Amino acid sequence: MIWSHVSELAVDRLLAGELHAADAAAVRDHASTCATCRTRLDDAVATQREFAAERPRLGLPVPLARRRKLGRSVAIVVPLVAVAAAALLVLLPRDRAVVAHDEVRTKGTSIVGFFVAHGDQMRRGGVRESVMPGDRIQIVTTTLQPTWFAAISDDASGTRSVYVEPTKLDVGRDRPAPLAIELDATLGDETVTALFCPTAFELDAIDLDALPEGCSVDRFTLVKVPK
Amino acid sequence: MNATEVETVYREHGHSVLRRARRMLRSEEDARDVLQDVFLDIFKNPTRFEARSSIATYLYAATTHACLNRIRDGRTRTRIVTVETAGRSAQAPARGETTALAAEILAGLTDEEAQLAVYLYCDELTHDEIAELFGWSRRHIGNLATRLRQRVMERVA
Repeated sequence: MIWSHVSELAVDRLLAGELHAADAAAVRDHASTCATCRTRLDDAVATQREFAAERPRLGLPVPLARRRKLGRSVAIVVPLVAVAAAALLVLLPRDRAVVAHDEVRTKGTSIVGFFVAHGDQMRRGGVRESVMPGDRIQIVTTTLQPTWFAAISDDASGTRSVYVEPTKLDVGRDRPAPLAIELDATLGDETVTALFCPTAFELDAIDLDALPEGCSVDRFTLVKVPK
Repeated sequence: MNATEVETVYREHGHSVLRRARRMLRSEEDARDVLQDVFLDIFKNPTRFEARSSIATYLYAATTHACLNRIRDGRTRTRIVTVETAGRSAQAPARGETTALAAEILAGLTDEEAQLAVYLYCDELTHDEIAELFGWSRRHIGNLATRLRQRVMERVA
């Protein structure tokens, strides 16, 4: 290999272990004598370490088998992140209360809110928000310190669903969850419970009536009415 | 490829996606969104990923594509240009304008042309590396690079 500089792609391939030994050695040798490439390689290694230490969870859709086990069928749909973010800019005066939460909240520094997408329209959800089957819910969270977050739902039929698997959150206001939820046809009250914990947790191991030290919950209730 | 396997690839290689997205978008929030989008796309379309011999190469191309889509979206483009313009100094008075021009040029190119422009002019990749990213011959890349240079010069003029 001959370079003027080591490319970003070559650095990625080096860290991925995809370069032959001779090429990897050549990259390192070059970087040892070239400030630009040394900086590029150091930055890549630093990001790799940062990512490994942070261990961010990937918000993939809840596996179907798990939703079945929980006895409920909901669709996790395309992210509404961009739509929600745009709506936030329009809807949110910066000095107003962040979310309208209507249920008991344990002591904590994290709260949950939501937006409702009905057809082409999106609105911020309020206390006992009326929604319809097929509406999409975008959960948003506000946290004052890094935390782990998950959301579950209990509908009128007594069925529990996982809306958001445990995910690490950075500090931020009204940060959208990775995926939106399309509501199914079960009518009546549906309570969404957001669980915040300072460390990673497994949902199956959590008892909401006896929260682990440092964990808190926040809830909102949707009132699902016929179309 | 199931969710667990995608999670494994994410944990092992997500850092390269995040770093590239940060560099291209200059926004931590947008970069994190791209990070999610790239791996969600792998989960939804595993065959595209599984067909590639190099994970790093696939992620590099996928991240570039995802970032370009955001840059070519008007709001992100405006933000990047605004950041550049606000940050310019007396020593580099033209940087904001240059960035604005570059963003506008990118917006006028096809997806493939835009990716090629980034690989050539921003990343300074070799034609061999670009050929691997696209899965095309080196000669074809050379021809495309010549045409791209002509198009860019026409827009600059």
